[in-house]
Amino acid sequence: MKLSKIFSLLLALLLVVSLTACGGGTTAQTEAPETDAAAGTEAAQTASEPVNIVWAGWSGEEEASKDIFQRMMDTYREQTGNEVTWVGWTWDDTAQQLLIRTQGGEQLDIAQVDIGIFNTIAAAGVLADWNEVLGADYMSETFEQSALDVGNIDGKQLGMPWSMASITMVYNPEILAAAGWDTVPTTIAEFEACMADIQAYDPEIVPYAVSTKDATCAGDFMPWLWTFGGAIFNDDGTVAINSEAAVECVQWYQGLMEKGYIAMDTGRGEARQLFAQGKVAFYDDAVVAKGQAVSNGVAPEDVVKVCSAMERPVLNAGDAPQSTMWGHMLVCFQDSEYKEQAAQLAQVLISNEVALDYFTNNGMPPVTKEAAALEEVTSDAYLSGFMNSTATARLEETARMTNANEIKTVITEELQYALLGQKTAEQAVADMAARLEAL
Amino acid sequence: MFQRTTAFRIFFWLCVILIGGFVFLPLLWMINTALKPTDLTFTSYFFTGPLTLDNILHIVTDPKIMTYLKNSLWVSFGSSFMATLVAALAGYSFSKFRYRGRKFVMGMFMMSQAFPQAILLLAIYAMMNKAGLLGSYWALIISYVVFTLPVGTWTLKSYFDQIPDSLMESAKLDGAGNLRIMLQIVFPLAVPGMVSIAIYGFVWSWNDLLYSMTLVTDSARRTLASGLVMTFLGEASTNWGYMMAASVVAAIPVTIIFVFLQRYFIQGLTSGAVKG
Amino acid sequence: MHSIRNGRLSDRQVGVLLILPGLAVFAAIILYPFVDAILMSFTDRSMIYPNYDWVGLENYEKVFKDPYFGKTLWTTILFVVGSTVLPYVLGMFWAIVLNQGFRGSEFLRGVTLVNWIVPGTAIGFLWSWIFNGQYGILNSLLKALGILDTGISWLGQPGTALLCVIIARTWQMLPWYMAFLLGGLQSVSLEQVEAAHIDGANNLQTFFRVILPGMKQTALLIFVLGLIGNLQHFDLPWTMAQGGPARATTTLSIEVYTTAFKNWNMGKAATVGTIWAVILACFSCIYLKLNQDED
Repeated sequence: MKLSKIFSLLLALLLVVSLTACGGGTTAQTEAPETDAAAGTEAAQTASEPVNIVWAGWSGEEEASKDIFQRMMDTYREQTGNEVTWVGWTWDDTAQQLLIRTQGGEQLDIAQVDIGIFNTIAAAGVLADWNEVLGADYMSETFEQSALDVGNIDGKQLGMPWSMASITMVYNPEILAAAGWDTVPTTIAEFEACMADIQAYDPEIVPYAVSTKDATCAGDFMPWLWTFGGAIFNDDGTVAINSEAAVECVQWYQGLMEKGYIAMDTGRGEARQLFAQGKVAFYDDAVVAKGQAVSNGVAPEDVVKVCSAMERPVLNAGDAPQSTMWGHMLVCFQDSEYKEQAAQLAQVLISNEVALDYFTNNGMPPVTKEAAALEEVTSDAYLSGFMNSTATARLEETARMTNANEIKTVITEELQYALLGQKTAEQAVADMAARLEAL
Repeated sequence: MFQRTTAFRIFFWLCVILIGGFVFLPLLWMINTALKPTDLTFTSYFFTGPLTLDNILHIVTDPKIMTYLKNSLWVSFGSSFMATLVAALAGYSFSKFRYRGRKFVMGMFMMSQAFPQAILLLAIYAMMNKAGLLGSYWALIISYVVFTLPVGTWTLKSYFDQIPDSLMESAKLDGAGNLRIMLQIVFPLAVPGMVSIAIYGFVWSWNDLLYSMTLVTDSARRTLASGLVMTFLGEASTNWGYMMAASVVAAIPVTIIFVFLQRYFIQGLTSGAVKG
Repeated sequence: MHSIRNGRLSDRQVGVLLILPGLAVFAAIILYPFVDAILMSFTDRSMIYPNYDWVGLENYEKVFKDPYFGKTLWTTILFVVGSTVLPYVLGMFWAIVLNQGFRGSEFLRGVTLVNWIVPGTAIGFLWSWIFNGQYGILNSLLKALGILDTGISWLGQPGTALLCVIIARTWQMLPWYMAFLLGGLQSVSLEQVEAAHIDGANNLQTFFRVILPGMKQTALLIFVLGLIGNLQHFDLPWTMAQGGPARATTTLSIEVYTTAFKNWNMGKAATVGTIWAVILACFSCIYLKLNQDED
């Protein structure tokens, strides 16, 4: 009698535990299990009381910028008395994790986003307008209009510029010099000659570690496609990739692969790693390439000796060199209870002192009018290489599209088919077009 | 079991060399890399050059990795315990009780293993969110129970099948209640099976990447599997020494558990369900 | 056990009570999300927008018209069969070796299990390093042995990429099969084996006529479990190759994940998932048949 009662009690207890999992269950018990969630979410607090804001992104995870991000957060803590918690992912996972987190309703106040994913997050309708948070006057006084435009969608300033530059080509001057090149190639013909010399100098070196896999592959392909005069989309949004130019571009890629100038199974991570080991002569990267070198033990002022930016070679001498716009923005979330404190963090991040630290050690160029005019910035040899390219940089064609990932996946897959010799260039380009049209 | 003919000896030694090499060389390479100084990571010596504990120390003193490790242990222990308990109850029920719908439920449990996990995620996420469990370990623990439930239930059911009904009936005649019969007579006989199911569940949870990557967005709750990906699979170049050291460090606690429990594990697999 | 005593729960009630916790977890984690996913497959739900519309069979049409869907199925079959059969056979060999009971065999058995508990992501890293085209260990080894002149990008070629992932998966799961099969071997009656030997059967004959039938249930059970596990498997193809190159390692599991969590297309992902579930139901039926008990 008694035992069976205890028995049913025990089972009932078990049930409670299992049913807490299922929100629609009979018990509405949700006591804090084991560990409590991040502090500071419960009660609305007055502005004077220190609060804990959540800052998300990826650079705080990367070896090359981890310490800088710690310093940034320390500065914020000192200046405002507030606490800040970093939540980080890899660059590749950031868009996904931000979306999941905003849908889950977990605390999230401010985030670092890349130009490439900005539009996706903005489309989800979760971002706050900086013009409302900080005032339109403040924004236009602080930033150049061109920088603001990148973060402006339908009149709303959803992104605050944090760093703007381009992804262009990076080279190792020591390898080029050893292969007999004192100047960088400016045309595709020269570029190929240079790669041949590098291969002759040391066959172990991958002349050009262009990305041939993951999310960066399509990003590297786009400026080359433009170089050959092609485009993925027309101005009206229709698919334009089925063109002579695109076929030529893919054929050129195939040629490089045949000659062993480029390699499969190479993403940005592999390229950086091999470049740091002196086993890659050229690859595509943003200004953050510097941080990589610095974290590998190169003194910040010596980085240009092993890692310099150059303009992308052009098809015919006189063409404008192509590169893609690249940059980071800060976004504030609509559901954040601490927009004001988040804005304070943003202001700390763009302040001269913090921006210069980021610039010197990681290469991130400051964007505020004031910081960009600083002597240390304007006279920097490393940056000037990038800034030349930035002048003509274009946004990735997919940057304003919410299904950017899908488009890039199609391009990457078809390019891979072509590079692997499973499809002709014509076939791959035609399939790209067909698949993009079907999206 | 086998006659030691020449052919068998050849087979035996071929296996020792080939399979042994395949199984252990990568593992040793991992340890080897973990012990190499960072600047020598890409050199090819195999335990014959300078070795250092720097990488291991770096990992052990990295509060993040240690948090991931702690989270993984919590989640894996929690879910393996819960799964074993739930599976034992269910297995006992399937084995010794008859009621309508029993077969149907058994079938469903089994099928559940086959449902594509990736697609269940979004609904699970929304549900965990509603239940307020996202910030805790529970979201993962409860989800992982499902991995183990089907195999656990079936394995333990066959254990219980081997226990003669007469044993329980005589206990009943002595006045023992259901709970006492279960806890004092039936379950103790199935301990090896339970241990092996617990280990099975532990490793499942320990290894899962998909759920931990999507149900946990906070680094404070992240488990090792996703933590390692987030730490080392970025765009930034990879520090192989740290990565391998992290893998070694992560494997150590579980290895220790295994050294003690492996006998049970294999015994559990021997004498239970799986008997022919 | 048929008696229903006064004041006690009936056997039937106890049985149902015992099954409730399992049922609750099952309903919450599998059943509800699965029904949700099936419904989702008829919508254009995206991860980005909270609102969605019903689109009928549009997603199914898209999936079946997708020129690569067939290839994804084929890749999945190759992966599932390859990464079940290979570790199964090797695990069987290894179990036979370890079952010989030589000195240190118990230690070896324990150490073998370590592979299984190294976090899957770490295994992915390790093997992508081994197979890397530029600084991979395999290439260095082959070059040192004079077999290769220039490195091969093992993970960069469609012909070898899937094989690489299968090998890594084999390395990871071999201990698991070994453990179960060793358990199976140890449950085989030694008298019967002896009897067979006395009757003049050689090792091979004994293995196929006595030992294997003696452990039939284990042997089949873990084979099917292995198949299902590999169908679900996500970690290694993802960490090693992200489904590439040219979709060579894109299995259903990867496809669902990418469609939902990279391309934000929940509706289409749910559709692929639903089709997959139908395919999987067949596997489960086999499993159920194997487990059928007579009552």
